[in-house]
Amino acid sequence: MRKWPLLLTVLLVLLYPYLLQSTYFRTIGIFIGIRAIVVIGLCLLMGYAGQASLGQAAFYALGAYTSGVLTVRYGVSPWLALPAGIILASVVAAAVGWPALKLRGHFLALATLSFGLIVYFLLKQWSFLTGGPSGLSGIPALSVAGARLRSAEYYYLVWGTVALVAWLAHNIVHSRIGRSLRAIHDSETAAECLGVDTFRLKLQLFVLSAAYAALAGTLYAHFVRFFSPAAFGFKVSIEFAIMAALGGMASIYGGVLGVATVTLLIEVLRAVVPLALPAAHAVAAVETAVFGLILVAVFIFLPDGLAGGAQQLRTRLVARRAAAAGQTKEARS
Amino acid sequence: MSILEVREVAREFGGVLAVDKVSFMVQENEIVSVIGPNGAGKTTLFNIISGVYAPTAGQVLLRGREIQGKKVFQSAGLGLTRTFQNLQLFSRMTVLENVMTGRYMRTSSGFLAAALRLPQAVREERLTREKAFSCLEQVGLEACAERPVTMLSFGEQRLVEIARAMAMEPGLLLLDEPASGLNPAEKLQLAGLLRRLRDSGITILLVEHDMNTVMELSDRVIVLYLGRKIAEGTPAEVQQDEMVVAAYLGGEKIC
Repeated sequence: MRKWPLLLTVLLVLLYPYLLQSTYFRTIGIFIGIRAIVVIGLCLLMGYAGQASLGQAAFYALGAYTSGVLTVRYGVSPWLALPAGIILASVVAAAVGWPALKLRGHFLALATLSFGLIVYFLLKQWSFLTGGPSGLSGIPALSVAGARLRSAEYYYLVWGTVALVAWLAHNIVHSRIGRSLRAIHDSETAAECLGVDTFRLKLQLFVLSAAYAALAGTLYAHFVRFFSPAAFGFKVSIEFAIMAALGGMASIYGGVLGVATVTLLIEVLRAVVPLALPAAHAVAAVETAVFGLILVAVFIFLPDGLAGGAQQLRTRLVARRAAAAGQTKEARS
Repeated sequence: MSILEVREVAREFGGVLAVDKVSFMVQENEIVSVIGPNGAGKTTLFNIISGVYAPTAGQVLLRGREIQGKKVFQSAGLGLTRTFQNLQLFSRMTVLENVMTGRYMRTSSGFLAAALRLPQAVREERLTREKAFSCLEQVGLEACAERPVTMLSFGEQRLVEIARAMAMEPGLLLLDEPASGLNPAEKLQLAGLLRRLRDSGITILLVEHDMNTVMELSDRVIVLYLGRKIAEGTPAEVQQDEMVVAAYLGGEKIC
């Protein structure tokens, strides 16, 4: 990737709170950042290693609820709850991934799908711990040295975290490990013949993606400070997968782009749909239909997502410019 | 000690013996070919040695260690690798990246070292690139290093696969019909390359249909017929063996 799109993005992210100075837009900015952390992990897993997870919201929930429960029920410091959530999600991911990844094929997608549903129902049922369907409230805000983080500061904390996890992911992609993960995607047999323990690498990556999701979940918990299981249902897992697919799974940068696009689209739908369809469930129904259309459109027109599309467009423009230059040269001679 | 010893290896598929008590040895720095008419059990034997199948009986020893039934990546860790008749390249990578992947066994940085760009990982990455590039030079594809591997011709892709195996610096390299799909010039180039590999200390075992290549290249030839070994010897000996001639009669003619 060239340097300027990255610089432009960094500049946009840094200036965003000043460009749109409303609580609403700042909240959206924070949500995009939090989801981007989940989706970057998912891009590594799905885009690079070719292993689909349809239950990423469950790890997001494990992070959020570990933070929520430890701080609300046991008075633990949020800064201690954060690593606890990540560790719990990692251990659970290892337990889910172990049997699923022993088998080749799409067993991880099936296992994570059912795992997501199980977690969702447990969150609803274990009211004594999670508050059940009515949710968990009173989660403390994050504070540094006794001072509570205000939303502008939280925005930079979240995006600082995004930058960190994106950097780690970028380094992994461009390494011996990243190459082997891509190798697994293309030919598991050939990777094994070169000595790659494909099971172990896939499991490690799956655990890493769960840790990313749990980290995002913790940041979510201390930002919204109240949530219910509805924030972690099957639909949320699918949304994460759609964000990754739309952005271009084999691109970390594209993943962030996918999150921003889908998040803004949801906001637009929420504003526009009630004007045309006043029924209570219209927004949800239209959202589902629009997501379906996006998925189909991505698979047909943009198999490598927005990032891949942009790359293609650039290649085509360069080729056209080169052809045009060639013609003028011919015309001169 | 021989680098590979196959002892009374058998493999049954639903009552049919695809390989029936085959034994042979491969010495260090040899080029050995396994030939036989279609259905002789060559591919099954190959899959057993490379760890894709476990044998129903018998042993496979790599430098004296039993490897039958071991996982493919474990055998690779002991210095055995293979190529594929229908090619198994990493289609989303460049030519160089494909070959760099072959360095996996010879490097060690894990997730943490990679994620944090520890000096060890950075150094390994540079050495990996250099080594992979020199492997590409040896097969004459250094000019294509940065191209997507799918842009190359079939013959060139076959060389990339061999370069990838070379990058691993294996003790024993199994080649599954390396000459298939190559034109005569490419076959000559391949034979030269395999000889240079042998001279550099890589022992080669190949399954091959192309008799010219086999006879010209091999130090020894093993002939399978209906799952059994019916002959073994130098190319000249095998060509004069009555059983071999009989096995091929009516089928392919041995030259």
